[in-house]
Amino acid sequence: MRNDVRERREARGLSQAALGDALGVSRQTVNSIEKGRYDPSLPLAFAIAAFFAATIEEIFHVD
Amino acid sequence: MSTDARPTPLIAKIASATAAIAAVTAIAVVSYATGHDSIGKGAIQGGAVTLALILVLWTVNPRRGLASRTANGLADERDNRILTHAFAHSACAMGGAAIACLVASFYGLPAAGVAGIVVWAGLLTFLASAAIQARRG
Repeated sequence: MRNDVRERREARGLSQAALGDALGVSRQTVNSIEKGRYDPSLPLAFAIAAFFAATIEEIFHVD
Repeated sequence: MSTDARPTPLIAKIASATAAIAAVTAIAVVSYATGHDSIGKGAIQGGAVTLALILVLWTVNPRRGLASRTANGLADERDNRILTHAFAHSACAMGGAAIACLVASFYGLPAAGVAGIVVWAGLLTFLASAAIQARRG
């Protein structure tokens, strides 16, 4: 599953660690999500969408 | 939020460390009292190494990795998933080792050897699985 997390994070000038702190997850988790190696749980996906003021479908895209 | 992990309180860490020291001491005392000196020595050495490792993880910055986050009660959902899979792989390895050791026991492998092989197979598989999953993402 592809996602725009990296682009949206960099657009806000945030580091992976900062985004992780905001979402309550580790930097490694953010890195894995951005690389598409880890699919977040539904609560985390909602948290990411809420953080970026977007919908889940706007951030995550099924291949 | 995706995780409600909270740092392990200092009092909980002190209590658990104290309990671990008490348990190792009890095992050592009983072992020495019953004439099993080697077991007592092993309990002291193994307990000391394990406790030292945990103390290091408690003092290391939780951002360092899976082990430090887990030791400090800050494991997130990805960490929990990695640990769950690692436990599953460990269980499979221990099952396979148990079957192999059962066959080996027919050829003279002692019970202590069976126990040691099964336990080490599980421990090493757990550590390897967790490390590989954490690195792969």
